[in-house]
Amino acid sequence: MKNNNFEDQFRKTFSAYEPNLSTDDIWENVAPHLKQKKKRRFFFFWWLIGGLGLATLLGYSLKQWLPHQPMAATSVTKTIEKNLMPFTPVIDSEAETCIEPNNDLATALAMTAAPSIQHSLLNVSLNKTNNSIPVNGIKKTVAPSPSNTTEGSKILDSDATLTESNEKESTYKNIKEETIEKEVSPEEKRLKKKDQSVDLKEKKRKKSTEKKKKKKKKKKKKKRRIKPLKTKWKFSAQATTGPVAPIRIMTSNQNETFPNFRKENEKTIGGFVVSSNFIAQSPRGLVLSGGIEYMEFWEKFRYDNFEEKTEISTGTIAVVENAEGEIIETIRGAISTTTTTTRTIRHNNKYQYFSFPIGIGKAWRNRKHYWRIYGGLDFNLAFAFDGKIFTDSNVSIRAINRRENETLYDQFYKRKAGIGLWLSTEYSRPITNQLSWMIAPRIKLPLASITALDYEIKQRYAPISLQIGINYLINPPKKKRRKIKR
Amino acid sequence: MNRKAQREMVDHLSPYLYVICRRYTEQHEDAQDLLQESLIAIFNNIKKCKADEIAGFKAWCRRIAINKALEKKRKRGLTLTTLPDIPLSMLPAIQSQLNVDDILKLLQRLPENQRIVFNLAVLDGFTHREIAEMINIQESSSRTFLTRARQKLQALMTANVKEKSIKN
Repeated sequence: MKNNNFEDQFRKTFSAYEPNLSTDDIWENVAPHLKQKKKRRFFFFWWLIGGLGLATLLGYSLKQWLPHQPMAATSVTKTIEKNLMPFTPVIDSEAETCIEPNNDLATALAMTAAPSIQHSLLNVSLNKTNNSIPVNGIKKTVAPSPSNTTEGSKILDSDATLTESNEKESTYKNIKEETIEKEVSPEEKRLKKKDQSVDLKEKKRKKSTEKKKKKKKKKKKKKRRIKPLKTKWKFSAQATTGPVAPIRIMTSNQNETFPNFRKENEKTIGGFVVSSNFIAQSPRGLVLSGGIEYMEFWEKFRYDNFEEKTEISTGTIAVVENAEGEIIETIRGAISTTTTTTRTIRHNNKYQYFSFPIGIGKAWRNRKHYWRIYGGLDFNLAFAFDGKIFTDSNVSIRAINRRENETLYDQFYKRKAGIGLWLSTEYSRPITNQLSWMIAPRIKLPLASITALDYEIKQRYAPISLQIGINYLINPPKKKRRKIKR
Repeated sequence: MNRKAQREMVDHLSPYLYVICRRYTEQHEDAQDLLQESLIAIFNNIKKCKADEIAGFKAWCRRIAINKALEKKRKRGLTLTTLPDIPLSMLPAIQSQLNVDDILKLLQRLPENQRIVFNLAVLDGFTHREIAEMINIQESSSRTFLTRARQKLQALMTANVKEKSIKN
């Protein structure tokens, strides 16, 4: 009890104590060491990358999905050929026609008396028109149209030939200059070498001094750095589920009509996904994930089979009547009757995937909620198809089930769908200290086909899913509450 | 965080944290350095603070300041030796009024390990278990340091009162 007397006194005096501090000085010392507010550009940059990734994936999948249109392509080529007709290249002799009548430079050239100026101006004008094509070192020009020839441009006829001769002269001069350079005395060469070596030494010195300065700066920076508080990795387990909308990518190497026919008769409906993941998040926001996922989606198979039957029977073909309308004679003969019966085959095809996705990404924390962007590889552990398919373009339908007939199944579908890529964004908000709910749109792009190698059609699905689930933090931060003794 | 808000927080927190820093240091300059380092650590890690109330935030700031002080001491090479347990004895009461400077002077006359334990246990309200974890000693040693610190402080305070009465 007596102990507490002076301890209480200590506490009271310290709590009542108000030191005289100049906070301005403290602020001046503290301010330069504070981290500046992070710009939101960085956040948007990651979103931009994610968005671009999604867009490219979607674009690629759509490109694969859409049927080819060869007819449209041929029509385009024809129009191009038509347009090219008036722009046939004219060489040398028709060089004067390249100068447009409205070109101010050309008119100025026509007015000037000196041939050298004319020559230079002509070169400029030729380059500006973009019709000049150098062939074998001589400038050859392309006429935009034969109707563009004018009187003013005819004057330039002789000048066009001048350009050729002048260019030849210039090349000759260059050769001469080179030969002169070769005849430099050895003393001069030595001097030049010395100069070069001195320059190199100076450059090296400059580089070394710069490096030293940089090192000094780095050291200073290192000194200023203050170590952040120790934080741990966060480990969490996720359980999610949600709807799936698969994008079908169906192609054929042989005939595009068959996949198009299948697309018409097989309509994807949708499905669901269930997954559980283990996520490790570093204090700096690096996210590593791995887990297992089961996905199932359905497809509506519908095919209308028309059957026509013709029966020939005898009956009245024509009737002969008199003026009063009475039947005088009936003519009998063979009558053919056709009956069409439509038989619709309906079935719900089922696609099942069991996979192991692993990924890497980045997480941001804004007060209480988290944003994550991550993606990676998706290893398919098992795949199964159960339903009806068109085995070939002759419309023969077979029911395929992996459990019932494995040999038939292996002819058309694989048992493992192979590796794929996935990309996801995730938003989570806490419910309790350890639990948080989350929503995550996710896209997958399989790299391999699900169909067997022998089967004509190559088929795969890029599923887009919206997963909703619970995130359980395995190692929550310990809350240490202390009570001050009074 | 806004620079203006940070400036206001410096004004608000500095006196509170200075008192804590002063208790763990010998001189005013050291306390000021420690205060600055603590403030930097607070601002740079403010996102990690999960306190919803001011009291919780203040407690978090205090903890950072104490950690910084202990870290500094550890860097300087403070080794806290484990001591054998001693029985508690009743201590005489002190009835004089002491100001902060007197108390600080008294605290500074304590050996460093005793002063740290006294600060942590009596003035900051940590349990012996927590203190043992914080400064890496046994729980019993923490108790011993505290008892010795109390004994020494009692002795010092009685001497201080006597000196004052003689002067008067």
